[in-house]
Amino acid sequence: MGAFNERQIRFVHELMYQIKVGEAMTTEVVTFPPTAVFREIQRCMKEKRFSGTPIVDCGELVGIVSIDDIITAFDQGYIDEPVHTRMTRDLHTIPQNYSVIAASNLFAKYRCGRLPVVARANSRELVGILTFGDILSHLLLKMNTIAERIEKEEQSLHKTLQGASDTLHFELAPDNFDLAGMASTSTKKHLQKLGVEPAVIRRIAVICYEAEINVIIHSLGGYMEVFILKDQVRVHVRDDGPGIPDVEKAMHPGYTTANEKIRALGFGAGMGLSNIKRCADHFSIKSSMETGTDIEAVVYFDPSSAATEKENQA
Amino acid sequence: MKIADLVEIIEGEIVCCPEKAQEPVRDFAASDLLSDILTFEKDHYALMTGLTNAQIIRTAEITNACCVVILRGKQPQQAAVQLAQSHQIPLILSPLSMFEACSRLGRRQGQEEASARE
Repeated sequence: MGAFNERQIRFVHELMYQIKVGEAMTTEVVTFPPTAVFREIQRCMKEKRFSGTPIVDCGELVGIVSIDDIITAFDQGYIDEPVHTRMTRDLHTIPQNYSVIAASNLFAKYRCGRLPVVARANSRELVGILTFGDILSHLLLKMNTIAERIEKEEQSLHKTLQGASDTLHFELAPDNFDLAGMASTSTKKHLQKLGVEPAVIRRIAVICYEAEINVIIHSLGGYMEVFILKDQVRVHVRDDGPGIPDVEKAMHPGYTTANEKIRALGFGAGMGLSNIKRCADHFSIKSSMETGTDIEAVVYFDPSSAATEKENQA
Repeated sequence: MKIADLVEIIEGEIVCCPEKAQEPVRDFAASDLLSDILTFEKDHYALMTGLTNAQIIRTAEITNACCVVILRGKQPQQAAVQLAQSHQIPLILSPLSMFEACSRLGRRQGQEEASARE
């Protein structure tokens, strides 16, 4: 495993914003009434292996007893007294709808290891308890789920692409306008050699070229892969960002963010994505400001399977 | 119409691949926006433009144009000439404006169509 790159760290950070305290907390909380004695709590802690317990009176959170309080009780000789006189009453709580990043900031700020979770802000209704460990295990669980999903997606794609007789791969460097179109020209030549029908080749070539130009003028660089299967050609284009803020807007013919320099070169008319969609039998685009843009276009050799696909898409 | 006829009509000069002058021109697409040209669906057409960079040749190659015409007396960039040579795409320069070149070609196309009908 190499060092984390910036994108991976941003991804974890983003996840911590997404995860709510309510998802990560422990809901089965052992609580005690204010009349409970310290020794009783100490025994329970030892038996059930936890290190802090909320004190609840008539359904309302009134205090907390931690292992520190128990040690002090032993030391000062009040271990057999009820907790209500000595427990920590100055409580820091967190509402269940807050993100775990807020919780992690509170842990650092108050140097505590657990936070009682309340139903909502300014409420004293206890709904759970959150430790740093809860956050970590939930984060790992979530990352694992995401990893599994990505793996599944890749496997199904891999299955589709196993039949590929040919795969072409092109790295696309940003701003290298003079080289723009080379990948598309190579793809076109390759398909001509395979004897693909000229009308089909032209559609694929236009898709590749528009996508290539997009990556070169708008992105930080990326790559294009062309998979040639028995009945279809799949063009995958991925870039490293910065991503399209509003994909729906970008798909609209004529919408552009290109500058004068790009327009002077004859591009940036805002036709690229809609033109790709027009040429493809199947088109999909995913873009995020975190991971960049990912487009996939499929062209079938046989017009009848193309028609079925278009119907399915509609 | 052949490429040679087109060169004559627009008072042009063929700077690359003169050996292809006898090939037919089946249609025309005129624009300074390559994205517009890329939505054009016909083959073997003359790409008329005021742009001078290498991407005009790429666009011509991708969309099966038969030649590229640079108008308004502009000179092509070196990269464009080189690419035209390597892809064997005739490159024609004309001093006419886009409008003038297109109207002359339109008139001739109309005449040809009329005589084909007779």
